[in-house]
Amino acid sequence: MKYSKRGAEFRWNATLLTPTLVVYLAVFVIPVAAVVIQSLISDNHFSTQWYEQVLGEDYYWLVLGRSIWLSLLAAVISIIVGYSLAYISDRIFVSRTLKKLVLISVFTPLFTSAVVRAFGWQIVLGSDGIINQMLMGLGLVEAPLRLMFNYLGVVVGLVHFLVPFAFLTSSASLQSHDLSLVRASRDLGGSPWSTFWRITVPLSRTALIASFSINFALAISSYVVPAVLGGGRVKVMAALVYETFSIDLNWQLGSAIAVFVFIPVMVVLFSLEVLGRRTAIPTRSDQS
Amino acid sequence: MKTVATRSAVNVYVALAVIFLIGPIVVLIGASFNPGSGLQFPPKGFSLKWFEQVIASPTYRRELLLSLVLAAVAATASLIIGFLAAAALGRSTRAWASVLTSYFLSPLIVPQVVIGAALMQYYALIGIGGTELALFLGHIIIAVPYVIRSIVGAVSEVDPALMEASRDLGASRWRTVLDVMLPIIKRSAVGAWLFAFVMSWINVELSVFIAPGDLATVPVEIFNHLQYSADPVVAALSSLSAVVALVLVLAIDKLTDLESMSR
Repeated sequence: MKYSKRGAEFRWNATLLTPTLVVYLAVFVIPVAAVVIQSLISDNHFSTQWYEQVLGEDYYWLVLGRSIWLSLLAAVISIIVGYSLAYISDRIFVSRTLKKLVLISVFTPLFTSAVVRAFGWQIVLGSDGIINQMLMGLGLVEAPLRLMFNYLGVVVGLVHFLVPFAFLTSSASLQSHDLSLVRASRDLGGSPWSTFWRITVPLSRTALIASFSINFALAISSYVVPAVLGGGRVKVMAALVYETFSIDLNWQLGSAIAVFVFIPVMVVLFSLEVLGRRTAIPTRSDQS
Repeated sequence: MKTVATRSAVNVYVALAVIFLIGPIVVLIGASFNPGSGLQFPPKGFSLKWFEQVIASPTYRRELLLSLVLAAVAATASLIIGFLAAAALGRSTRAWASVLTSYFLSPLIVPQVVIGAALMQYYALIGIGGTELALFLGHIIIAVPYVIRSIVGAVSEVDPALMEASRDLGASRWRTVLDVMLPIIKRSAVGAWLFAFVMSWINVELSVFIAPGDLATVPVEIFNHLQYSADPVVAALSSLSAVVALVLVLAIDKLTDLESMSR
């Protein structure tokens, strides 16, 4: 029996971690590895046929480009909305009730199923939906505007999906700032506007980078929102994976496409991680 | 900055943002009370008949039950699995702890499509495809990262002196974790359970791949329905799903600070 403290500590941690490690291995690591392996198999032998198909057909490039573009757009918009909302709630609102109202408005969509949210947007954006009702009622348009089953509907749906995430990351960051820096800036004559851009935003840099990469990953992985609000006209890569599996029943091709959904995520995460490291601003918390 | 104009502008902006965020959900719930067969908001009357149809349908009842039970069981299992890992990870600030934490959080960034496709093939291979067990395991891998993320922070704030005292007084390591650490982080643990419950209850993108063919979960049923038509019965079903969400948001708020659920 080992009497050394470090040995016992290690074995205890190992005991605690083993169940989780086993579950992850069985339910996550091995299946995902299996998908990658499946994408390299054709007729029971190794083949890059599926990758050649995806890389060779213009259609897939079109869909991939569209997915990336939509996800970037949605991520940027959601961060602008989420960050501004977090800033207002944290720095401008004083009343706890108001802050709580904002928080509940952010959490409610988060805890609602993506499909339910998209369904709600269908009713709002539809040709006899509430927006068109208002526009026609006010006489601003004569015929209902086409607000969904197109790119607009998908972007709206994606932004709606992403704003809560952006809010939460921004809020956590803003609350961790050293406010004396902000006060110092104001004392030295800085306007609220310039203080915001030259102090607050740079201090949030890490959070903004993290938020952007997470939101991009979430957007490009999403297929329910584009399916429901795009109405078959706006096909994204993630939706193609689903269709290839469920309709074409081609698991190997589907796996290859799935890998292509995953690659942009990794690229963005990696490059932003590098970017974040290179431009990191030391903050007070770095000196603890 | 604090001029009346700026104040009003800020308030209007926030009001619009709030409407944007919860509007679609309110509209959906409202439209499911509409007596007519079109999905109208504002509703032209008030009728519970669509909800009655949902309750009357054996299929929907079974699906509601499945989703509820699945969420509860998956949340419990995820809490146990996540707590054990967090108990180890939260006590150390060394490199291995943060590497392993990132590893355990990694399912969060893998697209659910990819996980879904992976699990579907893997389950078929080992012969449990299309079973409730398959669905259950999938929901665990979705929920555990959230549990770990919530609880690791709480564990790291537990005063190590308390744990040492417990060991000095002769308690075994298991006893220390279960009788000392766990009660201290109780609020965080319950919050994590509720969060895991919600993640399972609302899960659609993964579940669509691995749900049993004959018995879907509520979100999967809604998704399949929306592919073809959008009728008020599905709207009523969706409203029920959303109401559960709202209730849980308020429950978590009462229990732990909602704010602490942020990253």
